[in-house]
Amino acid sequence: MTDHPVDVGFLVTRTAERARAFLAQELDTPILASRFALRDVNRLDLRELTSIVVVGGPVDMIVAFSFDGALLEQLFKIYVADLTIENHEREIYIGETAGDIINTVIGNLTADINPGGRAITFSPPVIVTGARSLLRYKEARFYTVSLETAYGALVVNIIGPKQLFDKYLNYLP
Amino acid sequence: MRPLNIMVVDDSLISVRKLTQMLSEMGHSVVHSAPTGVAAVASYPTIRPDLVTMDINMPDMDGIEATRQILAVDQGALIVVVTSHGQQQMVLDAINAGAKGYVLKPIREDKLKDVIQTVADRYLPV
Repeated sequence: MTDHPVDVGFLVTRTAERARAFLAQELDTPILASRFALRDVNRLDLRELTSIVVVGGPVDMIVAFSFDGALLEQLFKIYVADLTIENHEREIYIGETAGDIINTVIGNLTADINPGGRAITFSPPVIVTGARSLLRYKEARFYTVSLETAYGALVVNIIGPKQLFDKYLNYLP
Repeated sequence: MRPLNIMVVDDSLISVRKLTQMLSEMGHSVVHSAPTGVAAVASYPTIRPDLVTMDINMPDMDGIEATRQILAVDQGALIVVVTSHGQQQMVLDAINAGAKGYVLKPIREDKLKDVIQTVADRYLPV
């Protein structure tokens, strides 16, 4: 836990570590390799499905978990293994799985950060489907970690400042 | 502990299903679920459950404010926060709002059972 102002490098590495631990421990999906880009990158490539939360208070960034399709299918199967999901519900619950993963990881992550007694808030997750690229401009900053598994990658993206974007990662005019 | 009528407040469909399954296996009944704080506050007076499980991060109204508003209507309401939010400040905010327990997601059935048991033993008549 840290009392220091929230440092982006710390935020990125702890988010990736929390995501790695969640996949390995809760979803039986170990991370085989991690690729960090801790310096600002110029382009984010979003995968088939991306879950997004806006983190407020002293963090003031957007976190986006972008999943390769095959990986999310695998995580979905494990995550809902004890539930009966009908065929017509499947697509909704795949999105819900991605939403629950980011919600749990970011929620648990708040325990690692202690910004002087100020509460860290974050939005309910939103889901964006379809691969697309996001180019950096204005004062935007992108940081990314790719967590590689046997089924594909979960790419953890930290994006800021949040005021430049809507909750679907579109630039605001 | 007698079987309880429980209202689940959570915007995650999977969390609602998982909680419903776990609570049913413990012998309780989920009598209502609400996907937002506003919906929970609106439905509480007619449902009057024995206990509420309350998420924090939800659209419209968060679980801290929903806890305050339900307790303004019924001072005896038993609300257990079930959330991924692990920051100490948020736990304090929930307890200060009147929540009787706090369970961190991912939900462990044994932990959930312990907290409900503790709350029921302390606050519900035998």
